[in-house]
Amino acid sequence: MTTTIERIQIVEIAETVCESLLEMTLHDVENLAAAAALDGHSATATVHISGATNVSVVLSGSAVIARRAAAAMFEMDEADLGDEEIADAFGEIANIVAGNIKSLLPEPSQLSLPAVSQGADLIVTIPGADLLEHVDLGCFGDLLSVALWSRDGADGTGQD
Amino acid sequence: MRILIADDSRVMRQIVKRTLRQAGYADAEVSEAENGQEALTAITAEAPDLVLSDWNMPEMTGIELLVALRAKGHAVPFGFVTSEGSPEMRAKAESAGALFLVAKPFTPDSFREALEPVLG
Repeated sequence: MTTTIERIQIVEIAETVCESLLEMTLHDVENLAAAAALDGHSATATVHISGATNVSVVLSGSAVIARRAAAAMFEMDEADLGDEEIADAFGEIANIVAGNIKSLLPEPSQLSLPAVSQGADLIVTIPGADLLEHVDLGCFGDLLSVALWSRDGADGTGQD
Repeated sequence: MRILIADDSRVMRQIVKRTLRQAGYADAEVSEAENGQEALTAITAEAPDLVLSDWNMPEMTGIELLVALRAKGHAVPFGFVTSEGSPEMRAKAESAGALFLVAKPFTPDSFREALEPVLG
């Protein structure tokens, strides 16, 4: 099945989620310089949407973003946060973004639990998937990116 | 008034508690469960006045929890707080016996609007 979702819809969802959870405004930063700065990502959260449409939502951000987001959501000092709190908060942001994206896609489908990775130079690979859209947003003076990957393949079977 | 929050995310349980306070339910006695199975045990033991449950959880999902409760004849008021707010999900929730579905991200106003008819 063809997946049609507009870049602006992803931006609006990410903005709404971050304004609500982090009480901050994101900025769309669609330019090459910004994309080049994504090399230092150290947190990613992936949520799979599976069913009538098969899409993976990958949220990526720097360690600074992940820590600041967790501090805002837990209402804790950044210094008091552990990896578990950061992973929980970053995964929950991805879960809410993916849930809202799922609402724009054909039903029925199911949402996976978020899988979160933290570390240096992380690379997320989803075998056989095609990049549908990639949005970079300014967040806490750094970059937060949302990527949508289609797992439906050329034959539309949705088989990975 | 006793409210049980079921969500596998600790930060989301905390945000739900915070939002309950902001919505005017600061006096509520809140307990927590990390998944549907844990919630099922807690509901049987504690008989809360309201259950606020995530949909997608490990062990037992929110909709499986609701179906299990109703199968046991348990009529506890039940609402979903979930990232999935499509018409299909809302219809599925309602047909299983949920009173409301609050979509994430939410506001104190959306909590108040959903909870007032249930808790007053």
